[in-house]
Order: sequence, then structure tokens, then C-alpha cells
Amino acid sequence: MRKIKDFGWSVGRTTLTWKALSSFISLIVVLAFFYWQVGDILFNKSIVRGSILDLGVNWAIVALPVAMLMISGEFDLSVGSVFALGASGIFKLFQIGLHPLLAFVIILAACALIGFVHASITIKLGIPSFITTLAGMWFWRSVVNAMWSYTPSAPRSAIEYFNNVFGVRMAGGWFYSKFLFLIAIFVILWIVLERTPFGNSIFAAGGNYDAALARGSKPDRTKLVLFILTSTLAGFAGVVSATSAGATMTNTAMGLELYMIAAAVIGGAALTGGVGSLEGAFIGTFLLRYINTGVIQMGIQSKWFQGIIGVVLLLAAVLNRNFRSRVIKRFT
Amino acid sequence: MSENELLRCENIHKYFGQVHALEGVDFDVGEAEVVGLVGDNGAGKSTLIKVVCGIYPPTKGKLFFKGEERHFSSPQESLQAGIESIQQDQALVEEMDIKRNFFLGREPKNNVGLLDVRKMARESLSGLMDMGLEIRSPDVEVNELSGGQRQGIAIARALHFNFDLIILDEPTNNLSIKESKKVYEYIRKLKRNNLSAILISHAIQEVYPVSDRIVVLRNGKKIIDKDREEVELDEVETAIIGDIGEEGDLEHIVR
Repeated sequence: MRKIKDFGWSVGRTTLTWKALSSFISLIVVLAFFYWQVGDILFNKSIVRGSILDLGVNWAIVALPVAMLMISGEFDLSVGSVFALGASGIFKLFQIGLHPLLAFVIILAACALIGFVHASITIKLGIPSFITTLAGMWFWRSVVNAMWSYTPSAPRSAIEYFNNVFGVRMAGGWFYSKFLFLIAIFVILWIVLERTPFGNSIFAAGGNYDAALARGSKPDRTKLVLFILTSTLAGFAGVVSATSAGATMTNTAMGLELYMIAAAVIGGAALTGGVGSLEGAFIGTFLLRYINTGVIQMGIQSKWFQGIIGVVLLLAAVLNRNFRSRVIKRFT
Repeated sequence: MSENELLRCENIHKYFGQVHALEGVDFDVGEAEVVGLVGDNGAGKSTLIKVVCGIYPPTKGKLFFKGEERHFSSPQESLQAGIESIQQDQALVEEMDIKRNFFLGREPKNNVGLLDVRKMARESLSGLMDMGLEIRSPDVEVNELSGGQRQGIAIARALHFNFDLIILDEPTNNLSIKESKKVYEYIRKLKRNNLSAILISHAIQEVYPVSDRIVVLRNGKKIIDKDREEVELDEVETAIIGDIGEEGDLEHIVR
């Protein structure tokens, strides 16, 4: 009996101190609202697969590393452009006839290199990452535009090669196979962040850089790895998006960087670093997708999407600021 | 003074360009000895400590630790040798919980190579209990703790990792009297575990209650080095600020 009580207490405590609790509550509220207004959003197979999960997976693959980078105290505003570079770039390599796998490896390596450049400028020259990656956002978008003077296209066979990996309908048509890749990435990154010394160094780098340095936790190396991870996964998401949809555009993913920051903040990340979670970023991303889809389904003009996101972002920020510390003080 | 010497600095000089920040300072710390290092801003105490920690190399002079001559070229090297320095803003990460702070930079791994969170929780908690710190759980985030509790954690951590010498910067600054007393208890606990400490402060009152010996620096020179029993507080205070009437005519300046 005592054990059951202890177990209950421990489950309760884990739930109440869960870093993503407030974003989870937000998600439930938003889902309930849309369910009340348009029930379809939860249970219509094609909406869930298409509008929620298809785009949601592309976004979440980027949102997760962006959140980790924010926890370490840095931003990456270039993810939208690097996403487009991954999408347009792999089509270019398909077109010149490279083997799809080779093209894939080259694109990921190029994106990793981009992350390395952003990190080096930020860390070695002491330029804030906000500036470095803002410059990167414009620069890499120009590279994409220079690469294609018309809509990117690629041989069907090369696209199919990856479509058979990422774009297979699964579970009776509820989602595409790329969703499983997202789950795998999430699990790996979660373990890295929450259960490794490297993850500890991420929180320390953003929470108190000087303390991290003094304790020998190597915050600069940590940030370097995260910049590389973020660019690589942004490029990967671009590849996944282009090959599973079978098409892309040079202006794809414009403004993605700000949605990613919004997703991380809704999920409990702080702009000052040291705080945040991958569960939160995950939930934040799909919250954005549900709001986008829900607004369209309700028949409100879709131009209100951004307005509503703005309001939700603010509410989430207020909730995060006050909710968790109060809950912890009160119940633990 | 203690029987066995732990740290000895001989004739340390440090120039920053033309500025002679340390002018031939001899400074030593014995085993299980607490030394209060006092001086006004710019007296050279933090420069001396940075020489000890390997942040600045001395321009001239020798440094011995545990009987060997050392040339620390980074804080990591002095840390590995057994010198732990707790700077006010560099001790703990506020947003992280106690166990993660405790093991930051030295995280234990389990047999699959992941963080051994249970060991971290268990050992940090026992470290805090040894120190007499009353904290509910090692999962509490540091930003929920008082200043005294934070000092206690930093000291408990130094104890746990078996440092020989711990340097505390303004250990009771901004603390209430009750909390300061707690911190003094922690420092005494260090001593009972045969560890040594250097307490840095600009105010003698802050370090007097726990120091075995008081060292006063002024303008880069050591001007007092006495056991606590032989020290008169007034004498030290005058020594720290210097004889105003002699050096600068304050009244004249005011007019």
C-alpha cells in the first residue's frame, strides 16, 4: 500500500515538474477547441496525414535541434534557407545524374559544413549567432535562387528512390513513413539531451557559460556540435520534404526559422538559454500545425493563422514564465 | 600556522604592461588551514588568486603545490592538481538542478555510457547531508535556493571531489547573518576534513570569524600576515585602506 502511494507520489511529481507540461496543456486546450468547432481535425485521416503530420514532420525535424541550440544559448535563423538548400540542392544533384544516395550524402555534408561555418564565426569571432545566422539566412537563400532560375525539378526515378523511404503510407493511411524517422530522431536527441554528459553541457552552456567553462564542461565545443546538428537536420528535412512531396520551390520554408523559435518557446524554451525541452518543441510544432489546419477548417480566412499564432505564442510565454515555478513551489 | 605546507607562492611579481600589480608577494597556505586574504579593490588579491589558479602566469616568482613546483597554464590544470576556485558568478548554473550542477563537467556514466542519474542523485544528496544542508531533493533547481544554500552546495561539491584547496570569493557577500553563520559552519567542516581554504574579501569582518590566519594586501604588496589571535581588527582595517591623512589629503580633495 505504501509502495503504491510512493509510486503515485512519484508519478504525480514527475508530471508536475515536467518541463513541457504547460505546452501539453496548451495543446489539449487547442485540440479541444477545434474538436468542438470542427471535429474533423482530430479524426479525419487525410487531414491528419496531410496537413498535420506531413508538414508537421518536416517542421519538427528542424524544431528539435533548434530547441537544443536555444537551450545552449544560441539561435539559428538560417534553418529555412538551409532547408530550401537541402530541397533544391538534392534536386540539382539528381538532375546532373548523381546516384540518389551519393547526392544525399553530399547534401548532408554540405549542410554540416554550413553549420560549422556559422559556429566558427559565432564562437571564434564573438559575433552573436543572431547576426551570423541572419547573414546565413540571406546568403544561403541566394545560393538556392542562383541554383535554379525556374522551378526545381528532378528525374522521377531519383525522387522515387527516397519517396519509397520517406513517403510510404502507413498504419492504414494515417501517416507517412517519415513520421517514424521523426520519432527515431526525437528518441535519440532526447537521450542525448537528458541522459548524457553532452546534454548536461548543453543546459550549462546556455544557463551559465562561465560556470560551464570553469567546470571544464567545454561550452564552445557543445555549441559547435549543435550548430552542425541544426544545419544538417534542416537540410535533411528539406530533402525529406522535397522527395516525399515530389516537388519543391526556391522560396520554400521562408519564415520557417521564426516558426521554429515559436515552437521552442511555446514548448518552454527561453530566449536567454538554459531552459527548454524536446518534448516541448515537439508539442509546440504540432500545436502550430493544428492551429494552422484548424483555422482553415473553421473557414476563417487563413490570413488569420499568423495573428492567432502570435496570440498563442504570447500566452505560452506568459504561461511558461509563471506556471512551472508556481506549480513546483506549491506541490513538491 | 599549520605544520605541513600545501601551497607556497615565492616572490610573485605580476606586470600588466606598465602596471606592477603584484610586487614580490610571498603567500602560503598550510594543510587544513583557512586563510583570509583581504585587501581593497585593486590591492592585488584577485590577481594573486588568478596566478594560483593558472589564469595568469606570474611575470616572476615560483609556485609550489603539495611540495612540487607548478606552472599552471589553465584553470583546468589547477583543478586537476586539486585547487578548486569558486567565483561568485561561476559556481552554479541556476536553471539546472542540484545533481546536475554537482557533477557538471565530471558526470558519472553507467555501463551503457549514459548519465548515471541515480548515482548523481544519491551522491549529491549524501554530499549535502554531510554538509548539514536541509534540501528536499537533489532534483530541486538552484534558482529556488538561497545564497547560503548555494555556497553550501559549491563547498559540498569541492569536498566530494576531494580538492585539497578551495578558494572562495566573497563567501558571505549579500547573505543574511543567519546564512553567513551557516557558510562559516561549512568552511569549518572543510577544515575538519583536512582541506584548506582561501577566503577572499575586501572586508575583514567577512572572513575573520573562520580564518586561522589573515593576510592583507595593499598596492600589490603583502603588509600583514598574522595568525588570527594576534590580529587587531582596527589594525587590519587601517592597513587595508591605508593611512588617508598620509597618502592623500581627503579634506583637500573634498574642497
